[in-house]
Amino acid sequence: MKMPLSGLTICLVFALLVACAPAATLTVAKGAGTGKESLSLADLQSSGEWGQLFALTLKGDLERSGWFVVGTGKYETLRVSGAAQGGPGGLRTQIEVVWPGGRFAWAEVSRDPREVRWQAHRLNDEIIRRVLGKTGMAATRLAMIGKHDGSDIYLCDSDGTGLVRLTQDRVTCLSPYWHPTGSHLFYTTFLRGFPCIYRVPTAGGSRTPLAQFTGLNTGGAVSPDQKLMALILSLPGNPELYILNLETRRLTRLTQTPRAAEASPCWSPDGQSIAYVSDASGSPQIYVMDAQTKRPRRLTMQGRENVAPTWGPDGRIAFSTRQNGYQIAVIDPATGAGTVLTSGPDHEDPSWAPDGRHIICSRSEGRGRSTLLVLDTEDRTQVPLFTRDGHWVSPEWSTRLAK
Amino acid sequence: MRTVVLVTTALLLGTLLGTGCRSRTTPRDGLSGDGGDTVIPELYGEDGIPLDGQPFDLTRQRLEGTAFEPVYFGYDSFQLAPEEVAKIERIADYLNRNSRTVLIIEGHCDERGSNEYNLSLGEQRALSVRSYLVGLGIAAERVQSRSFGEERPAVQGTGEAAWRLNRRGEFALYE
Repeated sequence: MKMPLSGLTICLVFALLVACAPAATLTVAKGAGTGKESLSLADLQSSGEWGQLFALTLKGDLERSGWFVVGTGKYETLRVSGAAQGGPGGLRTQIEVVWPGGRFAWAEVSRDPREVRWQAHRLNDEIIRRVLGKTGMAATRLAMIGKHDGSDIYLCDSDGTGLVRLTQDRVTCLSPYWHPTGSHLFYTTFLRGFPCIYRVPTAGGSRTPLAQFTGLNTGGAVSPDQKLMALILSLPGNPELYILNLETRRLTRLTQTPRAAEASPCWSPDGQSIAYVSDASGSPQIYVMDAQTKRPRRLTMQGRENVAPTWGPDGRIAFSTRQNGYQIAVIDPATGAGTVLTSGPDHEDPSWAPDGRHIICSRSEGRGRSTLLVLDTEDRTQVPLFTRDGHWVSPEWSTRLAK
Repeated sequence: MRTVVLVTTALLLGTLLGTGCRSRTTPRDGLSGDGGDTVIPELYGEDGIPLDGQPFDLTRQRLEGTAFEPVYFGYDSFQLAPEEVAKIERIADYLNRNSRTVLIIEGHCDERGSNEYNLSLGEQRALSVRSYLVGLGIAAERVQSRSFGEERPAVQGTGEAAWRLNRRGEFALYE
């Protein structure tokens, strides 16, 4: 995608500068009482448009991570210092990150604005890894369905920038899933009149049909080891959960529920289990199935409807529960302890970020429209992914990506 | 346009693979990779009504002017209410009198709940109508299900008045 550093970008940078100004007041608190580490970017000298873009992107990522309060004083716990120099040849960084427990150096060259932003994303995630021993979520992308003239799949970066339209079909499509490497999306499309599962490269390119049996083909969750795909087929006479081995193309049926419909499979982080929806009990509820023993266990016991599970990297499952409309809840499958995170208008379609802390979901705006929201499960803050007009559904967060 | 789509679908669904299969009937090629070998999936121990048999011939035209009333459903339900059954019996009569006609039952849901669950629920609705038709003696291979989930409401708007009309099975006839 062409991305010149246009007047729009400069305006955006300026707008961000203005928008970020109130953060300086947080310095006074030095993170006190917030449970966050205080961090200073005061000694990071950024020059040129790209240097500014780098510094702003990094600051946004650090704040969005939820772990830091970014200040400008000299008394912060963490200090990011050095230079981010933009020039005709690109952006050259020479940075040192110092904290009471250690320090590390960072130096890279970026040659276009997208590389500049991704260098900032990767440095953010490296700070989180080195300082906190945790996984960041900045070097990731999100897939979503935009329902404008028909439905199509869109992609954007973790900070809501870089939105691109991946498909140009204008036909109904649903339920995008990331391949664990980020190389492809697997999704359900009515391209051929019936719902079938296709795979499309995230860099763009030709699609491949993966399941186009008679009747319903949907799901398409690829296992962490990349070998299996969990899917829903109505081949035997009603919707059932299956696994397709992507190497041997062997199909294995997991559920035997002739009087119930299954939906929405997703894998556990260890690839041993699948969470999915079944209405075998009379209402849609979330079940967990061991992929080896094929023994299902009902996970959600309360509420008349629990749907759209997503299994987070720390083992918790988020889902949409029908309770004063639809709201996002999180449950620990080991203990069954659950928490509802949202209230108000309908919140649906959760997907965990790879940091295990944030969740992306859709929020109804009324008039048949919805927007995308990033939930912080610890601070309980909610931030829009972007402020674009339109009808956005089914967001899906990627794993961490190389670039 | 619809005909083109259906012809493509018919060709895809109609691709038969005969070898090495222990199944009672012939499975269709539902899998295609990047030009590599296709392994025939093993589909033993199926229950319910088999969807296979002769490939569904959709090269024929959709019949217009034979509108049958949709079958309506309760919330999150695919049960056929007693008052809806007569509608299916009328379709069965028609199919009995028109032996060259084939049928697609389109399953739909109201807008509430997850799109993915509604896609499965719409399929289950279409299949429960199909199952009833087969019980009335209509050959299974003449009836195909197709779910649109909540993607194609008959009536826009929120509230039970609209939702009630959107939880439905519609009939599309081809000859």
